[in-house]
Amino acid sequence: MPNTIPHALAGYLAFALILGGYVWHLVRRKK
Amino acid sequence: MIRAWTTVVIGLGLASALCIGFLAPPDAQQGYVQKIFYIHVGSAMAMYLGFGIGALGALWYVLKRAPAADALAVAGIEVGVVFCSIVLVTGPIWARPIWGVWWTWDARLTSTFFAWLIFVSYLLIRGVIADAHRRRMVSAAVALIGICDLPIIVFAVRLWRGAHPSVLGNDDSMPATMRITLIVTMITLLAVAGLLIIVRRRIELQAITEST
Repeated sequence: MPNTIPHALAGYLAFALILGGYVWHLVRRKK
Repeated sequence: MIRAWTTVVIGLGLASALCIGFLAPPDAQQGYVQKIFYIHVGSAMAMYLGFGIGALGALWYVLKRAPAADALAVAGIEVGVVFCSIVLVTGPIWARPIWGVWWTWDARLTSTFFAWLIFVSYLLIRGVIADAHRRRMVSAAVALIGICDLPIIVFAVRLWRGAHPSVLGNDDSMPATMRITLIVTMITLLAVAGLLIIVRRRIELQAITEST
């Protein structure tokens, strides 16, 4: 099994940053 | 309703994290990077939901000229663009160690990128037209053009047989643990998208009320 853990972590980090960033943006606008 | 839905989304998110972390095994050939699959496919479904609702809102506005319809359109499309961006970023990160390239002009990849361009232009156009009715009509037209790209994304893998695999519809393509994880993650991301669309629509409706 190849070591692809760094790519997996990068994928989940990108997901968290984009979705988290948008949620943060919405929460700020809602206030 | 938003508070209850948020609680459900948090619960589903925890269930998804547990499934991805502990239930689904790492792929024997690809290793842990295959776990991107769950958020990649789930985000694609959320993208279809967002763009679909957005296009329905746009059509509703064209037919009825109701500002509430435009609020639904912009909410759906904005959330769709967020999930489309996730698809377009997580895809190449997964592709690099597996295909050897970050990007290839495969039919599904290209048509997804086109959808992103069209719906980002929808959001940009809204910022440059001052007249409210004209802004809503022009952006609705862009949304209705953009939605024509969605069936191309869906059927691209079957029509052109590029590098992107056809996953859904092949029942024997993965073990049950992976399928359960995919279903839980898909439901979670669809619930997240639904919640975000409702919140974004409320913000837009509030802006309409304040401007009149």
